[in-house]
Amino acid sequence: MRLRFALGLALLALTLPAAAQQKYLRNSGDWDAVKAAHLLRRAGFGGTPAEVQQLAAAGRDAAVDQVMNYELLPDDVEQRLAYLNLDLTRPGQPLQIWWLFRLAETSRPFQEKMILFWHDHFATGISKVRQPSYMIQQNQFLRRYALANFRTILMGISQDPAMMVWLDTVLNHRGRPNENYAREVMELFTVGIGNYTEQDIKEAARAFTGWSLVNGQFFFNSRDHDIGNKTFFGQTRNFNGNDIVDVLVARPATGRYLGRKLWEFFAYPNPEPELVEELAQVYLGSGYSIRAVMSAILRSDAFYSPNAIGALVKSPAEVVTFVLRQFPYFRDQRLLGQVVGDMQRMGQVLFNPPSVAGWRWGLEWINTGSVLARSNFVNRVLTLRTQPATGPAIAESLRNAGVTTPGQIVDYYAARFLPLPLTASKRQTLIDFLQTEDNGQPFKFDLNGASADSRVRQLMFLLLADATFQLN
Amino acid sequence: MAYNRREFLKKSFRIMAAGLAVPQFLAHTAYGAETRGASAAENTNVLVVIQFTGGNDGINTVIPFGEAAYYSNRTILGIPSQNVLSLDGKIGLHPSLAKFKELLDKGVAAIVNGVGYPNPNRSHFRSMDIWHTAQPEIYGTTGWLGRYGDGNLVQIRSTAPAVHIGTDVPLALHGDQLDVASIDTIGNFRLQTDERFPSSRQLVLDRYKLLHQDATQDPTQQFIQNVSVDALLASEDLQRLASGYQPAVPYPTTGLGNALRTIAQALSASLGTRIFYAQIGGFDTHANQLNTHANLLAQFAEAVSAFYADMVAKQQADRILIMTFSEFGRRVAQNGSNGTDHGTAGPMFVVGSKVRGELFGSYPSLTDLDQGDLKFNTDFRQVYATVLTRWMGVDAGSILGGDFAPLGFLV
Repeated sequence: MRLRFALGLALLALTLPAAAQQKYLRNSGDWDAVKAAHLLRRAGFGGTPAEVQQLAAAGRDAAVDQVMNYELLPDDVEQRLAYLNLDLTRPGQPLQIWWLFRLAETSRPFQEKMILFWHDHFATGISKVRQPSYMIQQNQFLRRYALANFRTILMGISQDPAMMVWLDTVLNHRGRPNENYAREVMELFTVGIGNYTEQDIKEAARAFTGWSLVNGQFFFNSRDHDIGNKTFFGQTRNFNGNDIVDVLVARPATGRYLGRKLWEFFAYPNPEPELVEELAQVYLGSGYSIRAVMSAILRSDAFYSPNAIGALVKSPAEVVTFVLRQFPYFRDQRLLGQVVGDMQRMGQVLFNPPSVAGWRWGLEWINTGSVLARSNFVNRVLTLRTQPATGPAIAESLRNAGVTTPGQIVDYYAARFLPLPLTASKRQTLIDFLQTEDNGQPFKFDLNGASADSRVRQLMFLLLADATFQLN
Repeated sequence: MAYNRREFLKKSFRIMAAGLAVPQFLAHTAYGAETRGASAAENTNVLVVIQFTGGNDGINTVIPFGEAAYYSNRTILGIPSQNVLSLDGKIGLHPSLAKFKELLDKGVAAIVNGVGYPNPNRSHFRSMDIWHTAQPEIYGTTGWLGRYGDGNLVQIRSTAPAVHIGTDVPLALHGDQLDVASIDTIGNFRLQTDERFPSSRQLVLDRYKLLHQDATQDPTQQFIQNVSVDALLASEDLQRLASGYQPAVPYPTTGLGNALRTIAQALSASLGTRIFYAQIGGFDTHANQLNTHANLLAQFAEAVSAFYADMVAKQQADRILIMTFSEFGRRVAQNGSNGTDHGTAGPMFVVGSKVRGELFGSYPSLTDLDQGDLKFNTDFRQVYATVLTRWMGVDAGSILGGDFAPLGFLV
């Protein structure tokens, strides 16, 4: 099944007219453990050494296939979520825990990463929507259609109850239009600023009239629909809402806008204009397939280039999810509520972006309050009280991996946690740290000694609180 | 998704170019003393912004009880005239604002009526962004206080020049370079280490500092390192210097009470903070407004009264200015749910010993309306200009992108 899929993809690649001319999206197939770890961090939330090793042995195309074809992986998150007995009847922490649990436990991290992208792109906030069930419905829609055709995604989101409340589609009436959705669907979801006129917004708003919610479900109220002619993007006819979606999806500007946003989320900021053009061609040539665009991104030499490795800043969701997924003993359910609080102090509340424009990314995540929150989250996870006094046998697992000396221990965790190598000076600082007593006196580190466990945990803290870890 | 600091790599290059590549703490020694011992020419005034989030109903805050139209439009929501705290026989304050009225009577508080902007926007998000950016005509990405800070606070070498009581950074404080400390409580604003091993704490913090001073060619890491060191130093200073703080009066244990108490505590640490920002939410009273609104106004009045009394006792009252605002007022007429819908113009309050305790702006007409809403007569940027020029001592034009005539509410 997988072979046929890979062949199918290869055939698709051959039929795309632009494939032969692609420069940034060229796939030379180069592969190694650094690229494998990078893929796991970007198309997911990082991997354990075993996961990195498995992917490193696979080669670029097979690795990307494995990551992207997540529907082939069994996932029991839904059943396990039911056991948490979360009260999802009112806005609050339980709703965030509902998603945080998935992030930490899913066997399909790329799927969740795509949902995070779409959640930011179609930013919808429970502060206005007020109904957790609506937010969950939108989230599940994105889960199902994360890599679908963009027409399917945009149509579904346009008629999604949370979105209809969020951007006032439900307040847009024949004769009394509300332009909120018409504006944002163009400005933020498809073609982007400068690629439409105020008149386009007014006319699109008229086309969207009649879109209503009845008992929490989309209902087209024809009596409230303005059936007159509208002039939209230079054409005049009695456009309805579906037509507006169709037009916007097909615009080359949408290909560029989406291509650029996906690249900035997954690869690096400020992509070269030619690269954006290549991505737009993939979007248009594939009939608006998000899967095709993501496949091109994740297979491209530019994605694995030095410009990309470590070029992003981890968002709060990526910080917590990376850390939680590193060790099973980090994933204690009692932690989840506190982690949600930590994420808030880092500046990100799932299901509640600051505005319809989503969150601000990159270095915008970094301020004095948020860096303290990141470090304190790491400290919380590493010092979880419910663990036995000596914690899981850290010493034993290190010994089993053949990691016993301070140098080996620092190298092991640095390679595991960081997207870029430690500088020689930092490495030495950490090695010295393992061999220093609390009072500052040197001492001989012994992995079997009584203080080894706490020192190694403190080492992990210093690495996960380091500036390099904040990069992705 | 947005990269508001343009391309974040470029931003880091700007910081390096400005000579701030070195962590702040290496650039100064007793910075607390620096700002405390500032020369008379140096402005150390502090601005405390209190945001009423949700759209405060100005008409039931500063009440035109002398107008028949008030009662005819608000048959349920109208506050009986005998309960209104009269200011001039025609307008007065909601009874829940009794403690604020005391400040007015002392001459240390002022009201600016009818504040708004042209082509008012009734969307929470858009209108709040307009108040934060002071840019009604474009979709701005920096805040008026962020721009003020970029030009004036980045150089003062404080590890916490601007403090937000909360967990994010409001757009108003977003600048290209200004670092904003988001503090929810002073207790939380601390780098935590394993409490089972308190004897290790100093060693861990020393190594943390060392690692964050690593010489790096990567401007992004340099920026993160600088912010981290500032965070550690600010938190250590706050813990050390603020732990001795005792409020001179009891603060109400409400959300705003706690926030203002935290501000007072942070002020006592003399970190050189010039801007504090706090929020009180819940003002979006579309239904059953009476009790909710009364409680919110009481929360504000009691918290501000305690804070001001604390400042007086600590002899800081003449260097603090409190300014309140909301993203819009609400409609003249009550709606069918005993509440009010989004409106336009509203009042702003200012408090401080250097305030001229009078009424500014004029109370908008309740009958000459803009689609059922009040017409503004004072552009909010005039209030900002007053604060920037006459309180913070800087040129407002470059920050606000235009000239706005200051008002006379500062002595």
